[in-house]
Amino acid sequence: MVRRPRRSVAQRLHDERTATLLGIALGISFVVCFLTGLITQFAQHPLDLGFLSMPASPGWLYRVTQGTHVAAGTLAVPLLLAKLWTVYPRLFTWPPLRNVAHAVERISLVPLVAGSLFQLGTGLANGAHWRPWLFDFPVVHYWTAWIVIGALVAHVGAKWTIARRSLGRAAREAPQPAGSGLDRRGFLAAVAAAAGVVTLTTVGQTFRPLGRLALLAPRRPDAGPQGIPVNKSASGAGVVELAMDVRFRLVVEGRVARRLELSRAQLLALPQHSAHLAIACVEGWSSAAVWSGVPIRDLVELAGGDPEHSTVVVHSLQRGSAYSSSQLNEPHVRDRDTLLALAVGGEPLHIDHGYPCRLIAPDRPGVQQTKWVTRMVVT
Amino acid sequence: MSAPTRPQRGEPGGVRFWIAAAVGLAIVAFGVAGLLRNVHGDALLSWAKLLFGGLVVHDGIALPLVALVSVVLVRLAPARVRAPLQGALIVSVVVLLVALPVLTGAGRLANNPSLLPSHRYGVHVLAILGVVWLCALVLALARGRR
Repeated sequence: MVRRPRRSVAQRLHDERTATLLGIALGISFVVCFLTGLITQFAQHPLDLGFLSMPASPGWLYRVTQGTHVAAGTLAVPLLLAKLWTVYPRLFTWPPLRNVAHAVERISLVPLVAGSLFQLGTGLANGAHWRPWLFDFPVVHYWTAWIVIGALVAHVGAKWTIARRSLGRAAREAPQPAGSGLDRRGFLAAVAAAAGVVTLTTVGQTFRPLGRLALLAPRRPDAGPQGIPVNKSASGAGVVELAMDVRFRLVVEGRVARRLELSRAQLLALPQHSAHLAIACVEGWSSAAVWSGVPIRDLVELAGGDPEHSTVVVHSLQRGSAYSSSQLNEPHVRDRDTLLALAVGGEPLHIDHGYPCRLIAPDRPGVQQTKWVTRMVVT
Repeated sequence: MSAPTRPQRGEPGGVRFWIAAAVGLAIVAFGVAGLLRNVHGDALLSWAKLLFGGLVVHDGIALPLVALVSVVLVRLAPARVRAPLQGALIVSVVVLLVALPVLTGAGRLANNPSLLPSHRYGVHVLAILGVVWLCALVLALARGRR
C-alpha cells in the first residue's frame, strides 16, 4: 500500500489515451489559431499574394476570425499545460535516443514544445501590452507560428499509430492505471472547466453579450472615449497639436484629375453616409458603432479618379509608426461603407478616435483603420 | 513473437512517419528562415531567450514543482477530497496564468485608460477563484455523502 502514491505519480494521467485526447483538442485549437492568424497576416500584407485581397464583405468576417484567433489561443493554455504534464515522464525516456527515427521525433519536440509555450505566453502578454522583449511581436509571432505548425505536422506523423491505438475500443474499455484522485475523465473535465473559465472571462472583449463577464480581458468593448476602446491615443501618437490645428486640410492626390484640399468643414458639407462597422484589433478585442462621414469612393470621384478600379494609400498625421499609413484595395475602395469618418454615434470624433477624420472600413485589422488622416494617394 | 529488427507498434518509423517528418521539418525550416530574414541582433537574441528560457522554466522548474505538489497532495489530503482538490488547483493555476498579464498591469498607459480598463483585476481573479473553490467544495460534499 505504501507504493500506491508512487504508482499514481508514475502512471495515472500519464497514459497514451489521455495524451491523445488532449493532443487532438490542442491540435485543433492550434490549427484554428494558425489559419485565423494567416488571415490577419494576409489582411496586413496583401501584396505578398498578388491578385488575391481581403474582401470588404461580409463586414463581420475579420472581427470573428481574429476574435476566434485570440480565444482559441487562450483556451489552448490549459490544454497545452495538461498535455505537457501528461507526457512529462516521457522526457526521461532511457536511452534518450534509440535510433534515427526516435532521434528525429524527439528533436522535433524542441520547436514544438518551446514554440507552443512561446506563442501562447507572448500572445497573452502582448494583448495586455506587457512586452518584456526587444522584437517586433507580429513579425516574430508569425514566423514562430510556421515553426510550431511544422513541428506539429512531424509530431502527428510520429504519433499516428499510438493515437489510433489509444482511440480504439480496446483502449477505451481498458482499466485505467491505479491510483487515487482524479481519474482520466475527471482530469479532462477539470481541464475543460479551466478552458471554459478562461474563455468565458475573456471572450467578452469581442463578443458583446459576454462583455460584463470579461473580468480577465485587457479590454472591455464599451470602455473608452465614446464607448469604444483605443489602441493608440492622440497624445501617445504625438498628434494632438496637428489634429487640433484649424489649418488642417485633407489632401487627395495621385492618379486623379485634380488635387483636392478639403477642410473638416468642407468634408462635413459633402453628402454623408453612415455605416455600422467594427474596430477589430489584432489583439482580440472588437467594438462596433455607427460611423458617419464621406465614402472614400466619393472623394476619389470628386477628384476625378476612378472609384471602381483604384487603390488608395491613406496617410496619418502620425509619423514614424509602421501603422501611420495603410492601403485600401479595390474591393474596399469600391464599397460605400469604406468611410473617411467624421463622427461616431452621432458625435464628432473624439481626438483619440482620429479627429478631424479617420478611415473606417469593413473587414480590416484595427491597425489599418488609420486615424488622423491627412493625405489620400489614389493609385 | 516479434522480430527484434522490426520496430514495435507505436515506435517511430515507417513511411507515414518519414513523410510527415520531411514535410513538417521543411515547414519548420521555412519558419526559421523567415525569422532569420526578418529579425536580427538583439531582437533575435530576445526571441531565443524567451523561447528556450520558457522551455527550461517549464520543464525544469514548473513541472517538477507540480509533481512535488501532487505527491504531497496524495499523501496529505484524504482520499475523498483529492479529486475536487486537484480539479480546483488545476483551474486556479490556469486562471492565474491567464490573468498574469493583466495582473502585472505592466502595459498600463497614462494616456490610454481604455487599455486595462479595470483597476481591480486582483478582485476579479479572487472572485473567479472563489466560485471555482465553491464548486469544488460542493463536489467534495456531494462525494462525501455518496
